[in-house]
Amino acid sequence: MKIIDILAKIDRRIIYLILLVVVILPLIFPSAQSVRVMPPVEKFFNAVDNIPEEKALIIDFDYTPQDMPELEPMAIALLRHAFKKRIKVLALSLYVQPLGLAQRALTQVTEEFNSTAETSADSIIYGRDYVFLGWQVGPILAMLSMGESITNFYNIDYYGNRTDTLLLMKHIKNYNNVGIVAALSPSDIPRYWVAYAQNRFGVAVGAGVTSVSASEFYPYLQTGQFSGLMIGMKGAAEYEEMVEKELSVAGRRKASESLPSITYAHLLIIAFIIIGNIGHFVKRRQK
Amino acid sequence: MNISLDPWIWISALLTVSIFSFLYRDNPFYRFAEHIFVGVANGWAVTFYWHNILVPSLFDPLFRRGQLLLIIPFIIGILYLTRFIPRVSWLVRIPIGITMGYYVGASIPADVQAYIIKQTQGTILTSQNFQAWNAGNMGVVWSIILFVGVICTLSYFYFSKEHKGVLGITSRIGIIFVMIGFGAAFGYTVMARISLLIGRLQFLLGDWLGVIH
Amino acid sequence: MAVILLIGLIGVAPPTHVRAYDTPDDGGGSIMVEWHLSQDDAILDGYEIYRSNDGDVYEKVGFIGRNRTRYEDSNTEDGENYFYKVVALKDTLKMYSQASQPVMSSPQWFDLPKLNILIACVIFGGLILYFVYHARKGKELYIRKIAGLQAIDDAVGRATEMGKPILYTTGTGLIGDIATIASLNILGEIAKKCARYDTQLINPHLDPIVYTVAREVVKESYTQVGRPDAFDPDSVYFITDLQFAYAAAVSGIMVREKPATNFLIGWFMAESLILAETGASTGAIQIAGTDRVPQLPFFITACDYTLIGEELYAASAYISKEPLLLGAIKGEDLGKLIIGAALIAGSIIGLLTKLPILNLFK
Repeated sequence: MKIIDILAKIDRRIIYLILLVVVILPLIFPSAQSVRVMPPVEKFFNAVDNIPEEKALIIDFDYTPQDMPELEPMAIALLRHAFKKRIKVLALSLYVQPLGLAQRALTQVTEEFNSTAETSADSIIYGRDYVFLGWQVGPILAMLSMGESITNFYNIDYYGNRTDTLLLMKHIKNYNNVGIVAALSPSDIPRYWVAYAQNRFGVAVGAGVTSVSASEFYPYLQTGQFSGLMIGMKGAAEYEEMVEKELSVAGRRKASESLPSITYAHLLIIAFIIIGNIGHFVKRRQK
Repeated sequence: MNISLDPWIWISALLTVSIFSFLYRDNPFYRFAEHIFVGVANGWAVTFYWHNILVPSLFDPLFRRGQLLLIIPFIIGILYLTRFIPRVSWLVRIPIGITMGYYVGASIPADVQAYIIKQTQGTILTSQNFQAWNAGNMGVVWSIILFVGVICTLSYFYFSKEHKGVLGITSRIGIIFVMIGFGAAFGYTVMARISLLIGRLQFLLGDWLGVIH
Repeated sequence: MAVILLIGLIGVAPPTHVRAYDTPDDGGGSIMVEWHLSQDDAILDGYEIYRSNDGDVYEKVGFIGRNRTRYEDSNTEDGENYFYKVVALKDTLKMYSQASQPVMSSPQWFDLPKLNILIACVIFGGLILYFVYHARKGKELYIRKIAGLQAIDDAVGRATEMGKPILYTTGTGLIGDIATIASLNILGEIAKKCARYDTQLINPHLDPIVYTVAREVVKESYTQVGRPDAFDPDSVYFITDLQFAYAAAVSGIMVREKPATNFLIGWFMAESLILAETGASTGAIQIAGTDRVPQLPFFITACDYTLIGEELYAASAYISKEPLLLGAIKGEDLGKLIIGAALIAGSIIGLLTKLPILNLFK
């Protein structure tokens, strides 16, 4: 019974320390972990892959530094997919904070492609292959207004260009010219896309969400309101896997690199939960 | 090991470590980082909103390009500031009312369709919904579990009667479903928090200390 | 090579049966064009859509990939006549279809396929209005007791006895969130108790609008119990509109001020765990409530009482006795009965007949 008493009194800081060690070690000594792609991510990949030539992919970057580890790898993987398949990309943020991170992801993937491009046709060119619409007031207002005209609502892009002068925007008027909206968000925003953009204008919506809110979003996948769903780092790693395997796009896979740490941390926490519960029931019996 | 020489990485790393120090206990480093965070966030927000909303969307069109209709939202917006003048502070209710009215009006039909009607459609037991799971014969089982879960959870949140008799039974089953849902959410959250920790560690060990590549 | 040569010699077959019509159930400015595929669809690059105002001069308005039979031209002037031709495109070869009949776009007042939403809004809205009307007339509307609520009195009393403040956060929601509104109602009642017992209230905010409303609510509560002088304008204040900066600041308040009771009631995101954990570590009594499902597990594990989901709205109605809220809860209850009945009836019909029951809920 003494062990139970010691375990019950264990300082939470020791638990933090053990967890830290378990997470750090696989990062310092990396090992490959196979990634099994689940249907929600496969559906997402296929929905993006099947965007017709004349339509665009909207990527809504709504993550902030605190959600970046889970959602940025999704954005990178989506951009690699779109640029490889020459799918037109409209990037935007419904809040101001994510703007810098959106630009960071766009710059990174553009440079990845342009560093190996040999001709203008191979390159990813701003205004032709993608446009960064930036931010405008009010998420709901943005979603509703884009149903009428994207260039009227976002009349200037993130860099101050008039959007109606950009080559890509000549053929993209509203949601009729959009294949799918990929909402990468830690909040309720993917549901708002369904409620305001999909219900009213019929556009398809896919969501990349943090694991915290995963259970909230599953019902929308089951009803078909989401055309695909990526959940947390695992979801991001699955999309990275598909992009690399199906499209042969190489590049750093931050989410996949993290999977061993996640696995060991999960095992540790499961052990903590079991020990904690045993301790709880033993103590109750003693009383 | 290849420690970064970029001062911004150092500032970022030291602030991260200061915030982590709260895990040990409250201390001056944590407080310093906390106040910097709040201060920078507010300062940044004020300048951003000034340059990206007020100037391009209101002041420039109204005062430079003479779009006089914008005087209406301008006045409504200004009413927010009446809160600071006790005699007319009641006027603040006008912009609040308008904002609430807009959001409620926009959201009711959208919410009813997205969250009630479509979800009801997905819960009804039909062969079409059984197939939607893409799980062969198990689709029937999943659909039935979903159906029972929805009905019983609805009954738990029925407030017009004491939970006795049949309602007592269904509401008790309902709360079991609710708690299973919370368990799933809790599990996912563990993954989320570990992911955030990994994200910061990748930064500290990679970008800052250069231990991992 | 031979195939290309052959195409060059005889061309490709154009699409046929081009039909243009006003896009139904829309706000105008859009015409739908449909056609039958070209016989050579398999080898085409796609179809170009041409439009004319007079039937003579056509301009290109769009392009669509092969194996597609429909295009929406969403750039039309309502009330103007348009003719359409669809062109089968293969490299530089173009084969024009016959022109469509003239068509004009116009807006419709009603989006008929969404009639079910209108009916649902009328039923649910009607029920709520009916019960609000009766509540206002003084009819007693029963709502069952909610466990977390009974703890509020004890929690306020404990803070008073210990001479420590009460911390109340409405979370990180906006004023449009129902949880925020419900929280503001509960805040009003707690502020009244604080005013009566002279207990210090700390109410920090993330959203400027919620802050403005909360300040009015607290001030009103102090006035209602005859203690307007006791209202401290600095007790309700704005911190920052950044989620984690807010969480860091409120955690700091919990650790430094050591409130006897923390109320975490409203709309929360990931900060819920940070706040509930920090509050628990200071030994405060914690009463939480939110309708955010992912956050509820943390509140349930780290707080003494938790209002789960709609219990929060019911608690807000129960505590305030406001006819508007009571009526709303009763209306919602009946709404739940209707949804339950629709699910059962729909399933019976869906399983026993071949009626397309799901179409009613599109």
